[in-house]
Parts: sequence; structure tokens; C-alpha cells
Amino acid sequence: MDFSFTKEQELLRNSIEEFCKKEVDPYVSKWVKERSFPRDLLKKLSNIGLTGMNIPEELGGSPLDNVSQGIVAETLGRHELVAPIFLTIFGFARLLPFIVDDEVRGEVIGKLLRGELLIAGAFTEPGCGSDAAAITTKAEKLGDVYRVKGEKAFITGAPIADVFIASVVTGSSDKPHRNISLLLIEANRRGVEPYELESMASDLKGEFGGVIFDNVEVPVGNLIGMENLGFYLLMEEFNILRVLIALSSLGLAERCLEEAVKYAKQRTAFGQPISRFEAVSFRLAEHWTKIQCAKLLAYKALWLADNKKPYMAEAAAAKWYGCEEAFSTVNDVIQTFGAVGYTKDYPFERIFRALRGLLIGDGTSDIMKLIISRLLFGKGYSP
Amino acid sequence: MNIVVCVKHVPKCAEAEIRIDPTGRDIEKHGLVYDINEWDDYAVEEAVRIKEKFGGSVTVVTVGPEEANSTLRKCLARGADNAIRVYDPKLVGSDPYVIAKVLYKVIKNLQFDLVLTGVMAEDDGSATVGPMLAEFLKIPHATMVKKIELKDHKAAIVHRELEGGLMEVVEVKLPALFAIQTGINEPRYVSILGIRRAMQKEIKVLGLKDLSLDESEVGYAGSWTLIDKLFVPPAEKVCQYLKGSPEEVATQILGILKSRGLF
Ligand SMILES: Cc1cc2nc3c(=O)[nH]c(=O)nc-3n(C[C@H](O)[C@H](O)[C@H](O)COP(=O)(O)OP(=O)(O)OC[C@H]3O[C@@H](n4cnc5c(N)ncnc54)[C@H](O)[C@@H]3O)c2cc1C
Repeated sequence: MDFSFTKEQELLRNSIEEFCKKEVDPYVSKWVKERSFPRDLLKKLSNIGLTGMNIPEELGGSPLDNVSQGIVAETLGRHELVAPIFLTIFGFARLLPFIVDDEVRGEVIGKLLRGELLIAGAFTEPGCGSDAAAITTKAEKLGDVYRVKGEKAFITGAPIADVFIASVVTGSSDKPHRNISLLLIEANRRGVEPYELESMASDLKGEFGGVIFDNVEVPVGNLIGMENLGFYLLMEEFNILRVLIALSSLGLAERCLEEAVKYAKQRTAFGQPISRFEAVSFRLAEHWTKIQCAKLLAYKALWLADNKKPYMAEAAAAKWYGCEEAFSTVNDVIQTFGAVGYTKDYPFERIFRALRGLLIGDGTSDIMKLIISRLLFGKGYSP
Repeated sequence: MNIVVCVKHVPKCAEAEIRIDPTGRDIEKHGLVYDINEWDDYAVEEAVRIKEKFGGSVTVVTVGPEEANSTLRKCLARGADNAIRVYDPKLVGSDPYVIAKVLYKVIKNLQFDLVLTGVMAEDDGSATVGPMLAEFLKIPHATMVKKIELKDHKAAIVHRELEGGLMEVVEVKLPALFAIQTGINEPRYVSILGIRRAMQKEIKVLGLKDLSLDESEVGYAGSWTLIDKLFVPPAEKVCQYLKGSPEEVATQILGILKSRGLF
């Protein structure tokens, strides 16, 4: 067994870290203070090839294997990469090569590679989330267009997205999973009405919201993958995205932990550094341990995926355990800092709020356990 | 324009806790993160920019153990064409004079119009390898270079950054060696494609024999200087009270910051 990353992967981590130190760290608190969404960051990420990570070379991309993407996710996560950009480059970009029409595909991927495309994934609806096949947004085929009607809610980046990838009902079989297709819907089409939702972590303008599709006409060439098989494509893409989300939150939690370790050595109480109280140091030692466990699990899931082996249970485990652990770490980091960690002078309160959302978004922790249980117990014995 | 850039793989000490090792002559290296010397980063970028404008090639050279390959790969990912690493265990303990001599032995066999180095290395701060290497190569040199304008393949106009914000402009005959100051450019970020390109290139490794160097000429044996002692000076706290109107105090603070190079 070899746990080392390749030289190429080490250079990748080092390069992304360097990029973030110069292009992200100095600006994050300013973005938050001004609530301004850093669109130019997408452009800068495209300059180093990161918007093309999930695009094949023949379409102009600079593809990376899943483990390498894990490294990128962990590193960008360390530096609080904003969610809409994260989901665009690590998640939804994966679906663009499946766009049916050559011209549409070429144009959209071109924009992505130039850093001019923010994608929102519109799957959840006011009436259903975990039960993703229960959607009611309909796409009726009328000649060479689909007419889309419905509402999607709790969508990352909805108010600022250039395009939506939406799950829509196109079929009428008795199996709901077999009726769903994915459509690329440009935000500037008539009848697309995005709106903003304030959440506990929408620090930046347009970070969270919903969208109404009011009889939007979409060319049939905007179909992604095969008609009525969109659900399966989506689940496959979520499997990987989940692990990358886990790694990004673990990267962030680990950085917070490093700050807490430094602080605990400097801060004194009752005549000694607080790190000398076991209550303080053990708590951080425990989180360090759990973060390492979670990262190993996440990288294993990605390694399995790269080696074309089943990885669904590992991916689900990495998501719930990794995101819960990241959240719990930051909670204790705030505890380590005391009151000052609770103020907005430090980033921890904002990170705490952001990480909370990841126990719900992209599949709740319960749904992850459901996936594991089904694989563990089999049909007839699982929830 | 064929350009050779000398780069060093150094421990990043600025953000780390530094401890002196038991010999008392070096720092504890364990646990430190290594990367390209900051000055060299600018030198590589400058070389790649010149190459992109005038054609030619960029060769990066380092003296160091296998771990230094990561620094060379980074240079290749940024656009360097060739990489050479010199190593022999006997090189341990080499002072700047020996390093300059080793670099000379490598570079004298290469075709070059320009040799770039950083002004100094972050770790030992000696700032002497560049000028000594130029002497070995018998070519002119300029240090603290903040701008390079190539007139033709025969001469360059360089701007040198002097103390107190002064700039000196000199014309230098080529081939020449320039020791590059930080801030001469904005080094590019490494891209995924750059990394891919870098991984396809080979790093040429040379030993003492390849350079016709004898063990006695390198390491502690060949060095002219030897570190006697390394220590952390005791911290002194000096509290300086500034007097005057807010405007006067502000001016004084600015003066202090400038004099310490913080502004
Ligand atoms: C920060 C954030 C970002 C998001 N971004 C997007 C986005 O970009 N695009 C998008 O489409 N959606 C997005 N969502 C929505 C997200 O995907 C859904 O919230 C999630 O799938 C859960 O659905 P729900 O909120 O409808 O909860 P429900 O499905 O109604 O679940 C409510 C509760 O019941 C539990 N539960 C439900 N079913 C089961 C079961 N079978 N077994 C056990 N427990 C169960 C859940 O775990 C949860 O605790 C985002 C959500 C958040 C918080």
C-alpha cells in the first residue's frame, strides 16, 4: 500500500496553495464585508486551467483524475472557495460534455474554459429535496423545443448563474426515476426568473436562491445525456461531487485547527498557555485524528473511482463523516478561541455557518447513511 | 536569447518556527517546507518572458539533493525548457564560493546570452553567488536588477534598485549575468497544462565527475568560509515615543516604516 501522492499531484497542491495565498486570502473578508461575489476569481481560476478540470482534452479541457481533483478541492477549500464557483468547476462542469447539440456544447464549454460561465444546478424544489425523483417541474416536448414549467428552490448561485442545469420531468412511466431528464437552461431565456433567498450563510450577494421557469422554451439540443435517463447521470455526478465537498470542508477545518493550535500556545490563562490544559489540547488532538480519518476515506473513495471500482458507500461515508467532522472541528476551534473566536473579526463564525449547510446540501447526512445502509443490508433489510 | 537561470531550493523560514540544530551551525530542517527561493522565482519569470518575446530557450540549474527536483519542476511548469541538477553527497557544507564554482562548471558548457540569478537566497542571504559566478564565467554582471531592456543580442539596459528608492540605469554588454530583485515582474501561476508539460520533461542530473570536480574542491574541504555559529539573538524591546501633532507623528511613522523597508 502506498499513501504518497505523485510528484505531479504535489506540484499541483503547491501551485494551488500559492495561487490562493495571493488571489483569495487577501480578499475574502473584503468580499464578505461588501457582499460582493468574486466573479473575477472564476476568470483567474480559468487562467490556470481549473475550469477545465472536468472537460476532456479533445474539447479543450485540462482534465484531472479524481484524486488530483480531491487535492485541488482540499486546497481551494482551505481558502474558503465560494460555493457557486466550487460547484461549477467540480460538479456541474462534468455534465457539459453530455450536451446533445454540438454547437451548444462547444459554445458553453468555451465560456466555461474562459472563466465566463457560472453554472447553477437546479434539482431541489420547494416540495422535494432528498426525494429527488419526486420533482414536478415539467418539460413538454413541442417539436424542436421543450417547454419548461416549474420552480426550483434552495439553489446555490441561482441569482447570479449564467446557465442552469435543471432536472425536469419528461417521461410518464410508472417509475419516477425513469422520467427525468437534465436540461441546460440559459438564464437569459424568456421566462427564467431567478430570485434570491437569504440563508444562514449567504454572505455574498446572489449566493443562494431559487428560480421559476415560467413556460421557458428550450431547444431540444440543450438536453444533457439521454432523455428520461437524467436521474442516473445526476446520481453518478453527485457521488464524486460529494467526496470533493467533503475534502474541501476538511481542508478548511484543518486550516482552522492549525490556527487554533497556534492560538492555544500563545494564549495564557491561570499562568500557562491554554494548550497545557488537556481539555483544550485533547479536543484539538481528537479533531486532528478524525480529520485525518475522514481525509483518508475521501481519498480512498476517489482512488476507487479512478480505478473504476465501486465507491458509492465510501463516497457517502466520506460526505457525512467528513462534513460533520469539519463542522464539529470549527465549533471547537471557536471554543478554543473563546469570545474573540465568536466575533466577526475572525473568520470562524462565518466558516461555522457555511459548513453547517453542507450537512444538508448535496444529500443530507441521513441520506448518506441511507445509501450506506442499503449497500450494507441489501434489499428487504434496509430502510 | 538562450538564458540560464540559477535557482535554489530553500526552506521557507518566514512563517516557520526556527530552531538551531545540535551542531549550532545550521537550523533544524526537519518539518520545514521547501520551495523555490523567492528571488529566483522572479528570475525564472523574467527569463521566460524574454524567451517568449525573443525566442530561444530557458535552462534552470540548481545544486541540491533529489528533493530540489520539485523546485526545478515548478520552473519547467512555468515555462523553462531544460532543467539540470547537480548533486553529490560531498557537496554538503559548500559555501557560496563552491556553489558558484559548481554552477560555473555546468554553465560554461552551455550556450547562453544571459545568466540570471536571484539577488540572494532566503536561507543564507549571502548574495554572493551571482557576482562570483559572473567572475568565473568572465562576463559582466549587474545586481539588484529591477528591469531589463534588451537593445539587441549585444547589450542590455538594466535598471538597478539602490537604497533609498534610487534607480541606476546601466548598459551592460552581453553575455552578462544579472542578479534579479523581487518585484521585477509578477510571476505567473502554475497551470494544469504547465504541470503536465513539466512532467514530460526530464531533469538532467550531474555528479562531480561529470563536471571534472574533485571531492577536495567542494563541500567543507573546498570552501573558503565556514559557519562558526548560528544563534537567535535575544529579543530586545525598544519603545520609542513619538511627539508632535498627529500630522508630524504620522510623518515620523512613515519615515520609520520606510527606513525598515516596511513601506
Ligand atoms: C447550503 C445548501 C446548498 C444547496 N445547494 C443546492 C443546489 O445548488 N442545487 C439544488 O438543487 N439543491 C441545493 N440544495 C438543496 C439540497 O439539495 C436539499 O436541501 C437536500 O437534498 C435536502 O432536501 P430538503 O431540504 O428538501 O429536505 P427533505 O428531503 O425534506 O428532508 C428533511 C429531513 O428529513 C430527512 N429525510 C428525508 N428523507 C429521509 C430518508 N429517506 N431517511 C432518513 N431521513 C430522511 C432529511 O435528512 C432531513 O433531515 C442546497 C441546500 C443547502 C443547505
